[in-house]
Amino acid sequence: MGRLTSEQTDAFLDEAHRAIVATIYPDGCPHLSTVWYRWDGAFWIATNRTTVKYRNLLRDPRITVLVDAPPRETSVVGYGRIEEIARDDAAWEGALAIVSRYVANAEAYLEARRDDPRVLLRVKPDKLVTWTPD
Amino acid sequence: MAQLPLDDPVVAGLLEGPNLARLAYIGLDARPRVVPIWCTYRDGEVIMVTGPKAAKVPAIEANPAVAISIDASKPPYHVLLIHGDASIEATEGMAEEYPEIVRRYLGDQGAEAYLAPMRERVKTQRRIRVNVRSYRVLDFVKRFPRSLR
Repeated sequence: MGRLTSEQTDAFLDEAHRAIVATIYPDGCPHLSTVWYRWDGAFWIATNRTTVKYRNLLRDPRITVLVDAPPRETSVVGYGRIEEIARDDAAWEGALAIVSRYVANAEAYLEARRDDPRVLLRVKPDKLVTWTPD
Repeated sequence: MAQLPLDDPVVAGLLEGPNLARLAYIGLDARPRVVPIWCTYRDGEVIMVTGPKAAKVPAIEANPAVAISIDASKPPYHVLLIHGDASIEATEGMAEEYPEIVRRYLGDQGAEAYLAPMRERVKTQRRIRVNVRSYRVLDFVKRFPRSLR
């Protein structure tokens, strides 16, 4: 086992894995949810303002993002704070860049969800921990 | 304490297949943490095994509130999301459940190759036992996150 180089980390995060994000509920318990993301040195996540994670993050912006490749493969964990970048129509391009990594017709996918209370979030990790079985 | 509905095919599928669990807890630095981990469900509890020096051991001893997400790695992306309270026990030698857990993920042959060198070396492990407080099942067909309903 070992660590990934910075180039290997970028290449791994560029693959269309899903990310698991941990936030903290008002009662102090951890919450998990699975999201699509895009990586450019920061994790970009598009979600809705009605989600538990968004409501948790408004109160406590600390977030941990895990990207792994099961069952016993490479993983990357980023620790950071969430920044809200854009909402609604202003979040469209950012959301499109994320969704198009995962679905063939990203425009149609988003169009079907046009009225969602969309929000574009960014996590620039202050700490990134990588693991590889190699 | 809740029991997971093993008669629910989505739940049974997630627990029977080699689906990785992600365990979230609160770190000693008060940040949320999430790590990939293997697990099994036995006698109404989720059981995970880790090493005695793992960072999650003192953190969970200080704050037992955990969340576990067991996700299918391929579509349809079923998810079993569990909230619970964890307790940690030191084992003498390898945890009794560990071989069964490893077999679930690596298969019989893979598990033996993985476990053989450990049987000699491992003096103690830590068993993480999670009492299920509540759970949610998402199948993205009929059962969606509340925010998408």
